[in-house]
Amino acid sequence: MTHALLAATPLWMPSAADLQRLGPLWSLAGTIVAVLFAALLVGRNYRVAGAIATLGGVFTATLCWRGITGGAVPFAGLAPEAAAPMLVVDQFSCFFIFLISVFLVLVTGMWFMGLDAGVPDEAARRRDAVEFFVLFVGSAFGMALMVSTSNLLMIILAVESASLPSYGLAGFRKKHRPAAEASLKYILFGAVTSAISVYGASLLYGQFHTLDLMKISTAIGSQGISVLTGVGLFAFLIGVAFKVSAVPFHFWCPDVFEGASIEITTWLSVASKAAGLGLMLRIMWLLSCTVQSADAMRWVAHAVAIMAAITCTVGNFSAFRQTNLKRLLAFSSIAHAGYMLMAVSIIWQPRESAAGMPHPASSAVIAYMIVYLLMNLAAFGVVAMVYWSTGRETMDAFNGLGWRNPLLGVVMATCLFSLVGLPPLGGFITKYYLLIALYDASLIWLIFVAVFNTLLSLYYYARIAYAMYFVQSDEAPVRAPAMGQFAVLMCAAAIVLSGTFYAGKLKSFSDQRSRDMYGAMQPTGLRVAERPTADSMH
Amino acid sequence: MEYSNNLVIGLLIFVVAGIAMSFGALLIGHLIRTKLPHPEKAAAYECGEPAIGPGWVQFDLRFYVVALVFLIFDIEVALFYPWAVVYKEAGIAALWDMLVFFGVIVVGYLYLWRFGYLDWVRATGLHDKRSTVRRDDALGRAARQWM
Repeated sequence: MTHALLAATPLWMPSAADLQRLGPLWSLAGTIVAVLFAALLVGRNYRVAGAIATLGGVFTATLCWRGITGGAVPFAGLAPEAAAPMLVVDQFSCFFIFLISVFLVLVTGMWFMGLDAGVPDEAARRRDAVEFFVLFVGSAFGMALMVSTSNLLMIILAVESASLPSYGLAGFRKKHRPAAEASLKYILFGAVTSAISVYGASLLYGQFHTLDLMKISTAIGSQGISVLTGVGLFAFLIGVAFKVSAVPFHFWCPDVFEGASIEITTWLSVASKAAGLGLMLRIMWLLSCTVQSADAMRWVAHAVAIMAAITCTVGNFSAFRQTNLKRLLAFSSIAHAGYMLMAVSIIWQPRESAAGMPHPASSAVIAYMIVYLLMNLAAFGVVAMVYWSTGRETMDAFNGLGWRNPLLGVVMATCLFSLVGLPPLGGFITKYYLLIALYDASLIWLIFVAVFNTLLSLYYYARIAYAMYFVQSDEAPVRAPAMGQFAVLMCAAAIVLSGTFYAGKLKSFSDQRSRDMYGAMQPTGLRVAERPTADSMH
Repeated sequence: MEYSNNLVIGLLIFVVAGIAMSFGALLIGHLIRTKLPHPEKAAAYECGEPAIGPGWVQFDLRFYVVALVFLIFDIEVALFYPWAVVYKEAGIAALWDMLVFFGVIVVGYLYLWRFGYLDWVRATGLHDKRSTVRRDDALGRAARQWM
């Protein structure tokens, strides 16, 4: 019987060329194995482990960059059926993996700097470096998978493989009680949301008999959104909203950011959100890829818009009373996730003209993500250096920082005002692109919410700046590693440049990435040209 | 629409019945059982043996390590089985596929071996100040020779 079945369907194997296209994913997976393998040969050597992680990150980034500049051959594959790909490689996924692997390298650098800073758990950090980097690169691999798939099952697997190492990383300081608490909260929250997510996926599968988002989308287009589809979609999206830390699935975020060591906080604040938003964009876009399904998805998109509005409002209000800088930046990152979710909520809307035009929403998210990475890296970098020097992460450690270490003060101020979104900084220009996209999508109420939130956030960001320059402190000057100071200075310079001279370049770069974003649709049933235009909708 | 309404009703029944069954059983038990309290009954149940100490003790982490190792190899066997069935048709590519998969797991296994996670009586070598394992297991010796 078995053999009769096998004879009927020819066995599918991926070709070598297909596998080669997945280079970035191979490279990250190989890095994990290489870190372990090197440990077998040379023992627990933290330098070797860190160097391999760095090399792996650089190599992955190079592969992705080649994919980006070489106009990555849009490719959907690794499945017996070309119409239902398991993994997707396109400009969009290449960009996000590039972002993640560059950030991996930068955070590894931060980890190395933290080694000599005299933090209490120094010996343990050196000793457990192998495990640390395995988990670290492992979570990067999961995040890379998240942005390169369009299959419900793969999405769940990717979210899990990004989450599980993150739980370990959050509680990596074993003797540190807040870290253990953070890790436990993270696990429980993640377990519940992923259970709901799997339940949603099963509802969708039961209804459409497919796990492929494109096919589900065409089915939604012809059948309309029933209540059951709605329940399934929302339940499924909860798993992704957890990664983005959208309200009300954000409760893990402040505790984890406070409890985890600062490198991990930095890592999660950018990489986890980048991957989650990339995934969210892809899901929402794929689900609304025909005229009818785009129309049906309107309600789901409105729900996402409402969630985005609540997310940034709650994030900003909660940040008001925080005195721990890491916790404050956690709420700030929730608020920023809210801004970016706003763009996700308009991706269902048709573009002005046919194929070849970038969608303003995905372009805005990509631009925002680049500047957000720089802002968060520099802000957390300064917090880390102040922590290494003073042993505190609270607001009072920042009193008079502008005089105790002028460079760190200037960098921090730049980041804070960029996080608010004040001109002429990168944060302003990307928020401007975002608002323009919202305006084009005629979501005026959402613009008001965003502007209102920007005003709200000014208060607590300015409070830090006030402490740095106007509160007297007789504490010793903050001494920081030269490399670290140089790195955050470069970030601050990039923030200023991206808001002024390179604003146009940032725009054209992110347009380009989102233009070829879903080239991967071509081998599947639906051509990009079939994407509805504004004319065909009305 | 009728279809989905039915499903919503179905979902509601599912949720309500689920809650009712778990709480109902407790409630009925609470109502009808005879109550004869005895200290023995309040004690933790250890297969009829007299209980030693409280139930809330910290379990040795080594149990978890063993469980994890078992789980990984269990899954590996589960994945080997379908591979072995179609191996003939898939040809040499399938062999390479499986070798890559198996290789990754073997590296993990060697890591456990090398750093003493398989020894029940764990040396404290992990905690020495050089932060490398001093204890000479066969693998460590071989690795050092080979370097």
